[in-house]
Amino acid sequence: MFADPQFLMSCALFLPVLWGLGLFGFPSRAVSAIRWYALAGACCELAITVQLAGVALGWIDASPAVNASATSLRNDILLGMSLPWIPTWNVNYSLGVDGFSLPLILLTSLIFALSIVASWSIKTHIRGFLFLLLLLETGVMGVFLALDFFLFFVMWEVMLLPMYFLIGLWGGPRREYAAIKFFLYTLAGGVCLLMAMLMVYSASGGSFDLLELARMAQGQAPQPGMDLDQGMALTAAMGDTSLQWRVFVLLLIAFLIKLPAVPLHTWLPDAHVEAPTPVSMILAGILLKLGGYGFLRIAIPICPLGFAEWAWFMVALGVFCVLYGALAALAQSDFKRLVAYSSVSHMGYVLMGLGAFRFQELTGAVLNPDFSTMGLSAATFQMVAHGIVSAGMFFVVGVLYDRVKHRDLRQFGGIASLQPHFSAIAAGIFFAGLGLPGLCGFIGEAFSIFSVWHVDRFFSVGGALGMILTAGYILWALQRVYLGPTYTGPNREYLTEINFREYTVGYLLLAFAIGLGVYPAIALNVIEPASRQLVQQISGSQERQLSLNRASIESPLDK
Amino acid sequence: MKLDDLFADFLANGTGRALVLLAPELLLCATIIATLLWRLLNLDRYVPVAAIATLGVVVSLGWAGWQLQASIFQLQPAEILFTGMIRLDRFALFLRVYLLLFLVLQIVLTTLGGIPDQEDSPDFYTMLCGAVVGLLLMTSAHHLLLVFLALEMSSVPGYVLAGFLKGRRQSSEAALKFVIFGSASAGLLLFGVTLICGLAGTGDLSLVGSRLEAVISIDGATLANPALRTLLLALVMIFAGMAFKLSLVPFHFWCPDVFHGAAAEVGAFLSIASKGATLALLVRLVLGMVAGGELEAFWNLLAQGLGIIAAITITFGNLAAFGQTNIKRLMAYSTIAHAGYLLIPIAVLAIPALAGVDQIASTVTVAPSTSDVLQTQGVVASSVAVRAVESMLYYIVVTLFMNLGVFSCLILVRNQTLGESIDDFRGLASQTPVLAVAMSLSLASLIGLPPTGGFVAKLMLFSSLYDAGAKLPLFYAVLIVGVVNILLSLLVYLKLFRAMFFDQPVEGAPPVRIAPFSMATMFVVTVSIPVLSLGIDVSGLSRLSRDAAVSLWDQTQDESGKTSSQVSQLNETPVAGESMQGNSVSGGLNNGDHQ
Repeated sequence: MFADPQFLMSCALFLPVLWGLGLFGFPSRAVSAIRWYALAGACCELAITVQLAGVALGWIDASPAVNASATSLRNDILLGMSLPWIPTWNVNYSLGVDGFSLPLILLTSLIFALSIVASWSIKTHIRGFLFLLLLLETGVMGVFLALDFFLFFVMWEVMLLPMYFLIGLWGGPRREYAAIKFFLYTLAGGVCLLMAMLMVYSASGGSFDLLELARMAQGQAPQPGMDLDQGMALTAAMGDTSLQWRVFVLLLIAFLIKLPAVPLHTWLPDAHVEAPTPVSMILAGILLKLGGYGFLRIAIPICPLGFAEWAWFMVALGVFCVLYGALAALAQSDFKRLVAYSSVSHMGYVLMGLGAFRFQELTGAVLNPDFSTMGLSAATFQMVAHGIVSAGMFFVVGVLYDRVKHRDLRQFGGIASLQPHFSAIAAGIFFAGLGLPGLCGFIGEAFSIFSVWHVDRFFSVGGALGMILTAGYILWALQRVYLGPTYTGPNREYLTEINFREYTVGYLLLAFAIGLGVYPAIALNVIEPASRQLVQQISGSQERQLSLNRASIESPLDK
Repeated sequence: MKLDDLFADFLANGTGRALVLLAPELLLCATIIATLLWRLLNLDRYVPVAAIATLGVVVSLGWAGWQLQASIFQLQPAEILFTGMIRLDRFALFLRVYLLLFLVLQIVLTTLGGIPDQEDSPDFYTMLCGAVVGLLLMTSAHHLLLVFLALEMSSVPGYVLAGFLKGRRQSSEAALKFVIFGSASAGLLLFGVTLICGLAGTGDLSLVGSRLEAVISIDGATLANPALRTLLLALVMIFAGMAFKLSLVPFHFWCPDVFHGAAAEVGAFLSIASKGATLALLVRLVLGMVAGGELEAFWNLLAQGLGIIAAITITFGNLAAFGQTNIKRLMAYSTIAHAGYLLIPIAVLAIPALAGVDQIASTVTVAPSTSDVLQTQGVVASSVAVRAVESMLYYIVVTLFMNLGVFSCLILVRNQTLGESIDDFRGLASQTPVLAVAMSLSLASLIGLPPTGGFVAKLMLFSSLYDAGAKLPLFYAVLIVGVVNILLSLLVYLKLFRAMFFDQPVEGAPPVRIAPFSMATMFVVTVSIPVLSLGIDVSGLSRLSRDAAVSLWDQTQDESGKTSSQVSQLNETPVAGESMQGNSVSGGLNNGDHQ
């Protein structure tokens, strides 16, 4: 059973919420039992996703029959399943795992488990808090696993209400404002996603299947075995450049809001500052990745032609986000706001990597496909790395805030002498965020910068400049918080060394930061084939489109 | 045909069968009489009237449900009863079950809310059942005469219900406003119906469309043609009458005041049952009167007009709801906004090329939505119309549960705090979490968030709207308005979320205490579960409502054996050689669905 991918994927999707329902079997006063129970659930989820990864990568043999059917059904991905859900509307319950989603799934279950450990600091309504957290985990898992647009959208929106309540009920003083702002921005993105979904559904003759849609968008028959002539009309509708352009713009807005990219990022600092520590860890560590993942799973595969026209813009916007986020972080006096803006800056590298494409003018083939492959891999790796680093940074801020009850950088200083051990962990995590070679932040950023070199050197220079600014604000923050004369600010007496629980979270995150920095291949080997395949798809669809265009120019009467 | 001929015809052609088919309505009438007699015989001291009413309605519901099931499994064709007055197809049967289900829930809710006390309850249930009989007739009306009669039959008890809180001035004011607006619009409707009958020479909805087209095409469909001007006038008047019932902008003024003044129970009735049946009637009217050929451009224009009104209504409803502090008023504006959404399928149906009237013109561009519908080019266009009706039916079923969820929470809170404003909901989550969670589900569904039924309904609706946009690009704009309004409605309903979950109760306000295993809680939970399950298990209801929608295009076998269909009226006009395709639409869909 535990080698059956269908079971594993469904289990990874629904275990958190079902486990969460079990929370209501506890009396609300049994706080400790509730916490351990939720943690056990998160650990089970982690174990299941690890097992899933093992099956997907072939380390563990799936039961042969299942394996054969799954692989013959879907060649493009590692594991896949599909069951009819709403036959009248052609909606399927399709789940799948590939090189892009697998690292993010593992990251999700890891960060959720750690954030449940971090939520020991939550004192009120712990049962509701943990239930919402587990519900959120189901939503996130659903987005990463879904291979059906409808399912993807449902899961995308399922995350809204739990997050709204998590910020609005357990947040800081301006929590209601932050919660509504988060809700509105994300729903606005969701609305764009909805429009895009309708357009694609109609153009494809009623399909929500993402793999099918991707094939149609590239001018292939919807299903691998299907005769191309049958699908011709549909393929023509989906392969239409202007349709793809419009759909891509809608998806671009939707995912840029979530990512977040600069003009649409203003919900992020507010949400982060007001959210409690575990929620901030999840928000920065995972929810932001959904934007980048949306590009990889939906926007780029099903609108390759639209993407080709916008790739340049994505790189430019990415560079701008990197610089803007870094400069904004430099200007902050609130420690958490600084970390929040650092997220904006770091997610800019994701955008840069995603757009690292140039096309041959004549044939439309991707120029330097190795660079583009590296860009996509770098974007995915950067998402994983940032997931670990930003969760760690928010955790560090949260630990400090729990003790001194403020986050004002001007009042900090000299924490290192009071919390020497913890300061060392914090410094390690912050250095990873800074992009120090040997730590995970470096790999994603550096590869993103390399990969855009062939698009325009100017962008690479901009990205590299961003790394310098990042070093600036992180070192300055470390200096202002940890170094200097012993802390004399408010609540000095509570500033004790951290406890075992906090060590666990800190060391685990630090271990992953170092591990991925020293041996990035462990993730890159998984991501690389998926990136290569996506680059080929884009190249193929672009070449096909240009050859169609040429054909219509050469013999206009035939058309 | 003379009157006595008609009567003889009526008796000769299976009246007994017609009466059996109409048993749910008759049972409801019997229930009305029973409730009245019950008090007369002083039996209500032993058994409450509500029990008798519930019994009668449940039997009626059971019968209707059995009929629907039989109709689906045996694929019974639609039937025309009472010399063309009533068309009993799966669409009517579906709505009948819907209305009776609402009535059962409503009666249970009134016993929990206690608005009609023991003294008043026979009156209340009489009015309620009477109104529902009218609504039932509306859903199956097949003749313009019955359209008017059924509409009035459901409206008049509605006026009384609005004024039911006798001691309250607001309630009387509400009833008065309702009566005045209502009778004016009924007058308009009657005028419009008369003009149409005069123009077409018949009131039979399966003939009106083709007759109108024949009349207009004599002088051409230009405004210089007085017949066209008359038709336009008549349609505007009929629409005004219906728009009043639906509370569409600009005929919505009565709605907030009536909702505010009347008891919340009556608000539930007006926002659910009355709206659902009116929409069904509008579907029948539009399908009966829409005509292609010469009139195609004219109807396209009307369809765009309906689309614009829908867009304005949605936006206005949401914007106005934002400022409300009283929940009944807020729900009134929310009802207006949702009526706007529900008008969209009607607008789609008013496009002749999609309604299956002019199949020749419809062979282009509109993409099919599911592969099983893709059979011939002619089928393609009409599948949009079928899906529009399907989405409407899905939407009203979801509305039944989500609006009832909100109103039942409101009633329970009102009975404890004696207030109906948002402030009375403050801190509800900490006092009675069950109510707060049930209410949140309904609110999420009202916004249209997945995984609730409201989302699925909106998605279906938008999907058919988008496909219709390929015919009339204006509908793309309507779609954008509709989608953006999800954001506006979010702001409206978030106020309630905030009050329930984030705010502390008002100082000194009586706490809301409802036992977790009481009837009240059970009711709220029962009503809320479908809100969620309709968002997850979509296929059952979707299939059912698609079956119901398809049956609108079914051929019928009326008493005299001649074939007619609500839509394929072009049989009679020379242009319409292809109109039989209207039937292949339904055939194709049925095959697809039952495979």
